[in-house]
Amino acid sequence: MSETSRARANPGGNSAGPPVVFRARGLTKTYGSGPNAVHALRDVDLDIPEGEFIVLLGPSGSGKSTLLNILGGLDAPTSGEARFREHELTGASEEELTAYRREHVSFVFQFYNLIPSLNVGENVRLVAEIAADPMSVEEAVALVGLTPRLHHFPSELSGGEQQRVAVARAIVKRPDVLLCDEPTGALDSETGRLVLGAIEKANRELGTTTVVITHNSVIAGMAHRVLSLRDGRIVDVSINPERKRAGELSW
Amino acid sequence: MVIPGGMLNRKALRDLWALRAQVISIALLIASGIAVFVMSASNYATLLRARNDHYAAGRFPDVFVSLKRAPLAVAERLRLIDGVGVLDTRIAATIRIDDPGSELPVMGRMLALPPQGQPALNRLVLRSGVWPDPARADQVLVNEAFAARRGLRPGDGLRGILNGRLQSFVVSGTALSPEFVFATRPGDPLPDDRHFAVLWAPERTLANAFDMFGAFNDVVLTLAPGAHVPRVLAEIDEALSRFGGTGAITRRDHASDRFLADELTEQRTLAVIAPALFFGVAAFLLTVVVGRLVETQRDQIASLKALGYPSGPILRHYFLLVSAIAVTGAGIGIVAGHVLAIWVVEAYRGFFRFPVMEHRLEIWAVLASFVVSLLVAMGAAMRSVTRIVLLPAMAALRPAPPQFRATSLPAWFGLVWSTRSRIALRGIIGRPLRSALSMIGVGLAMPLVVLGLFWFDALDYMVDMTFDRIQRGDVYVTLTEARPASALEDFRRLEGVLLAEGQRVVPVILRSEHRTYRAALSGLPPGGELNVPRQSDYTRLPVPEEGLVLSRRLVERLGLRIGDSVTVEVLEGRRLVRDVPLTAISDDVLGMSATLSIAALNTLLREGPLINVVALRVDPAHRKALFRQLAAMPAIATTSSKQVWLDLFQDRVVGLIMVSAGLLTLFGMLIVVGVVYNVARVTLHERATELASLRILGFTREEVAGILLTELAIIVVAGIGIGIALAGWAVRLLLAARSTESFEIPPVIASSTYVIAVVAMIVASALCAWLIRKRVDRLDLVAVLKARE
Ligand SMILES: Nc1ncnc2c1ncn2[C@@H]1O[C@H](COP(=O)(O)OP(=O)(O)OP(=O)(O)O)[C@@H](O)[C@H]1O
Ligand SMILES: [Mg+2]
Repeated sequence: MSETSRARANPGGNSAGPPVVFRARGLTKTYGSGPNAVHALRDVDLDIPEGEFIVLLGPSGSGKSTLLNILGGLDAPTSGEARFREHELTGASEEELTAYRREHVSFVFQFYNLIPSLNVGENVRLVAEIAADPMSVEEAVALVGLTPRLHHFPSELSGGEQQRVAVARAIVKRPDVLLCDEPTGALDSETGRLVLGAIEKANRELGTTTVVITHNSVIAGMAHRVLSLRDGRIVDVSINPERKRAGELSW
Repeated sequence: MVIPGGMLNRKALRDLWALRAQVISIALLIASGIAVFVMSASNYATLLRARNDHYAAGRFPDVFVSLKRAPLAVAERLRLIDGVGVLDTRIAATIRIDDPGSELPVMGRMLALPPQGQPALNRLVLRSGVWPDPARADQVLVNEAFAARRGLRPGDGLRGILNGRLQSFVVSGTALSPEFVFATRPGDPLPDDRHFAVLWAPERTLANAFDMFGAFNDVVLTLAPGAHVPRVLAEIDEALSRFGGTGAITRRDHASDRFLADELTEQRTLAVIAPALFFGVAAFLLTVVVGRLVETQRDQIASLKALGYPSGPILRHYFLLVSAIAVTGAGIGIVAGHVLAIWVVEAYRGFFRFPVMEHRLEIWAVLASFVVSLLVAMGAAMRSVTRIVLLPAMAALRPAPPQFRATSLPAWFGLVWSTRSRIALRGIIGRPLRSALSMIGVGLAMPLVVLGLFWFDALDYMVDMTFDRIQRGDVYVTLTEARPASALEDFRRLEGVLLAEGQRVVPVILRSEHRTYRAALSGLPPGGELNVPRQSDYTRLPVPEEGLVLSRRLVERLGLRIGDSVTVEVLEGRRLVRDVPLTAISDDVLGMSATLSIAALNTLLREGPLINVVALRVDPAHRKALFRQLAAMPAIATTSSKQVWLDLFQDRVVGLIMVSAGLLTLFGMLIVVGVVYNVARVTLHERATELASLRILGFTREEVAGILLTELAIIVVAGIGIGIALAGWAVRLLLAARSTESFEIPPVIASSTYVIAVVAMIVASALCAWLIRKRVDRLDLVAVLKARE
């Protein structure tokens, strides 16, 4: 179900429904200037209601990661504004952005970025230690099915297992927002499903607002809404009338 | 065809630029080592050249003897002794310079000039004015040091008391002599130009005053090539014993020459030890930094090799990189060393009196600097570079990060530490070799700071030991002749005297088998308060009723053990010879002393209870008055004041030592900064992804930097521990290398020195921590996400 070519992703929001947590207006990100300027994002407007599962699709270089990083407080737009609830993300200081990430956001990246010198339990505890209301480490590890590997170090785990640790680490603090950049990019389909299952669980059971970037359009089936980017613009928004469970996906 | 090196050279420049902070810190370390080396090497060469030229041109003798009085005919007999080269006789006398303005008596050594002016040996260099007119009895040359200190110029007047008679002189000129490069009154520990003058007068003047016509009382001679030194000395002593000869000595016991020799030893030691230390640390840092650089460029090297690039240019590329660092360091070091050397030579000028002391940049030192720096740098880079470059292309070129296993840490770890401190601890344990090397690197810096600072402790100890514990008198008065002990009463009555003790001091030769030493043998009252032999821990050594107490270095020089018998040959009066047992060993730090109880010495001399030195404790409030009274007393040969020695010590010794102490401290801090900063940078580089991940997880900059800084803190603390252990050892090593005879510097390190060194280390580390902190702040989170190793 596609809308106009220059789609506004739910501008203004629905009058009913859950409150909007992310609100972006005219987000623009430009690298360099003059004829060599690269426009990673061009005037993007976006509203994301609480608890929504969003998938970002788009060709390489279309600005998906840039958008996600801005929403996650890792990057700043060249112009435009973005806010998370009452947090103004544009123009926020480094300290404010750090506090924002610490209190509200979790990331999962294509590369797992585990701390090599900490074992599974410790990697998860690391985050639990700075969270306001974390679940127990054991619980988070159990959610990704790695309880038997609690004391193993990353170098002793497969890639998929490491990614599941990354997911456990992301959900242990019960984040308000879970941002995933190609979480299954390096995994085979079976492991990918396991990882997506854990992300899905967080979204359903904890009500975590979730944004997932993927090149795999099958995964889009899990989303409430699918945003397609091209050339730094949201060119298409589609709403899934029915969401698939992670276990039902196949590729 | 494109030369394969072209792109690589550009890469070398880019690498240097990227690593500039580390490159600069390593280059500075090399520069420090080179600076000390160039400075010491050229000071050594400068002094050696100045001395050798002066000695050669001035015909500095090899052997020196003084005696009471011998007819000139005896000289002919001495010249016949086998092994004697050129022999010169002269009249020498100790006089008093009349100077009512001086608190202490000013002494002078007056030497006769032959009619032709210039003596055969110890030829003078005229610095101003003219030679004395032999036809006039009142003209003298004055040594430059005294003239400079007193502002005397040719034409100025000077009055001396010669043999009890006041005589007026005119300064005809000033001069330098190879025997007074370092002008000290015999028996004085340091040159005191204010209170000691050397004067040269026509022979007639001295012969008249001291009734020495047709006679001499001082002999200097050179040795013929191949001379058997002990035999020559023995024959001279034999020939002069009838004439009151006090024993021939060689240059080794000649005060001026020995001070020079000591300073040469000092510079030579410094030229070797300090650079060795700096190069060791610089080599270590280069190994770490180049190793890391190569490690990060493994992929590049692999793909270059896969493209068919030969190993040669790649190897050359890395060597070019380290050579650039080495050459920069050596260049800076040579310039700095040169400037320091010029500065130190200027300081020498007020100290060592040479006609010419020209400072030159030593070409061999420059060449050696470059060669050694290059070799050290290449050697440091060799291991990591060859290991990678010689690997088959593309084979297993993944960096090998440290592997952590569930078993690699003890169980209690989990109980004690927060998760973040575990990262820090495992960062250290995960790279045990590198961590150990870093700790050692920091550990090496600390001794350097201590080596700089301990001098003050050692000097404090020396001053304390010598002037507060052993020679406790404030004023020492030497009488012209031995007098009954009752003469003490005259001194006790003087205003300001709190305590007076009589001593008997005679010049002797101590002999044990073939080894001899000329010493002043002091007879001390047992239980006396003003001269107390001590052991190194300050405990008093009671003066035994019978038997000798010798200082440790003298015991070593004579090869003695407690209980051995020492032959004492008295060099005055009836020239008695006695065997006396060695009963105790004392630990004085300045000079070498020989002590006996005064009663035993009086018995040995077959005389009654006589004294010839009076030690006084003085009420400071009455100092001036006391010196006035002493000046008026008859039969006093010299008066010396402890305060003057303390001032001289401060002035002369402490000043010079300050220079090297300051340098070493500065360089020590440089090493700390170099090691800590480089280790931190390498760690930061390796862990950038990990630290950025933590930042993404919501850890603040402080928390993330905290992990890295905890690691560094552990390394620094362990390094400080190693440093404390090494410091004492380094000090002993340095002192052993510089050990000289005139005085031994005790390896005393005060705890305050350790505290200062530790604080210096902490300050240097804090500076690094701050720099690292800045870098952590600048971590680019997004870039780190993209760059995937
Ligand atoms: N630091 C940078 N400097 C210049 N251009 C950049 C920089 N970072 C990103 N870009 C450009 O911005 C555009 C968007 O990049 P972004 O990483 O958001 O793409 P993406 O949609 O995530 O692509 P992919 O699917 O390949 O990850 C790209 O054209 C990229 O070249
Ligand atoms: Mg991307």
